[in-house]
Amino acid sequence: MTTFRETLDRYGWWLLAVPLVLGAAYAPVLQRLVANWYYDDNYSHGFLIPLIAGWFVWRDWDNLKKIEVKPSNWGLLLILLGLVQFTFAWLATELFNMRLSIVVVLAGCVLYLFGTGVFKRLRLPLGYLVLMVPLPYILYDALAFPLKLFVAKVSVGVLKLMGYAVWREGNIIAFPNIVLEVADACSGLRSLVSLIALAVTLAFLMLKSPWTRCLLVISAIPFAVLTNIIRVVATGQLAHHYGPAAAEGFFHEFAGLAVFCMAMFFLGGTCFLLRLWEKRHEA
Amino acid sequence: MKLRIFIVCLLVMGAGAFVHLHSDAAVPLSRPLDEFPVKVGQWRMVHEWRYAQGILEVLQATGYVSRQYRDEQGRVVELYLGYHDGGPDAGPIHSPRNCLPGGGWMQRFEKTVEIDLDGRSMEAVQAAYDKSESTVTMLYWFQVCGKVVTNEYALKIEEILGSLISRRRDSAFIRLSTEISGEDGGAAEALHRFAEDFYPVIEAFLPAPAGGR
Repeated sequence: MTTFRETLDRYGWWLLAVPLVLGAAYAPVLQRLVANWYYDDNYSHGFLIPLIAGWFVWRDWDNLKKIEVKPSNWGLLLILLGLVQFTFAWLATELFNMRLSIVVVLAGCVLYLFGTGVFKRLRLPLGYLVLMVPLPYILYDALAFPLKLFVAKVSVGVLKLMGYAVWREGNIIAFPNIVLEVADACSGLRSLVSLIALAVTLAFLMLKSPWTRCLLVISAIPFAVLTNIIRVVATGQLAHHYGPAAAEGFFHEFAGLAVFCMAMFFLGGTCFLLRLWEKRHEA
Repeated sequence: MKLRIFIVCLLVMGAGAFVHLHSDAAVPLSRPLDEFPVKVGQWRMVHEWRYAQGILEVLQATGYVSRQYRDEQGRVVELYLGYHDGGPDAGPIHSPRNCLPGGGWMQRFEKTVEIDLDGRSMEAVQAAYDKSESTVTMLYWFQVCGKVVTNEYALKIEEILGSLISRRRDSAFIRLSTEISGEDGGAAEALHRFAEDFYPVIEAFLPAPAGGR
């Protein structure tokens, strides 16, 4: 029996060729992906994803190194699928599939070279890499739009309850002196994508059962929406009392950060409670 | 193990080489868009837009026409024609299905309709979008390598086929729109009339379909 560690020791230099060749083949795709993380505020967390994935591997190294290497030919099929996905997406200039194929080919390589045992151990970091790929905008908008309307609707309801004269048309909130538009960023989806990435990280670090992990990841959605409603209501109040300038510029940026921190706090709290619940059931 | 590593490298290099070496030819328009007529049938141009640099960078079109035409009854229709030559630097078409909701427009309806052209017929998407107080009715379609398609998936598939078979994936997006207020039965009729009048003109500017396809 050869373990993962022994295989790496013996063929380390040879294995290095795989990431090199992958890097060369995917160079134009990777370059644009990194540029995307840099320019698109919705995906600036992309930089962290490969690092966290690497850290997942490192954390599990003691278990991983002892696993028996039994190469599986199914991996070859996965590699081929990924490469077909890559070339077709390239022909159609379709960024999402081009980028996703990196993860598919990588998973195929692990399966083909090291087998199912190692693959099972590495499926979390591999799957986690999917979060680094920005959603295609057609999907993103399909998700953002209902959320945006929902945020606008509830925010106006709250503002009315507080005695403000407001009305709403679609995602436009109108005060007597100012009109606010619940734009993409405020719909809760900008923070949602980052928040889900964070929830997945927390779930795998702190929680053990698949149920509590799922629950934590799902809870990111209402938290993102809720905190954004708070943000819209607060912005509306400020704009009403101090004029439109209060709703834009520095405050807008600051509120975005504050709201994300609040959502993280809720997420952390939920994680803590779920952990307590898990401990009680273990005992 | 060494054999496996060799196979993986060979496969990945194969795909990488294909991607690096395969480039589609930039297909020029049959006629420059500057020559796009200001009068077609009873439609006369009343306004023309030139976009700012920032918008053009997002649009990534090789050339575009963005104009307003008015007919004798006073009906105003806007025409947007964006052409993407499919060359290595050409960007993709931005479908209104993505762009409009992103800009705060809400879709009221969307359906595929037949447009009767002189003895021929073609499909197009008819849709209406609302934003605050205005409603815009539009008719749009995509034209890939000379072929008309009405949805984004067909657009991508045609681009893949075109690129594989004839190394071209030139595409155009054509949108006709008119603003309506309240119940306006004439809007759709006007758009169809506009499409009938302009389709032969548009066709004359776009590159001809690849031979054999």
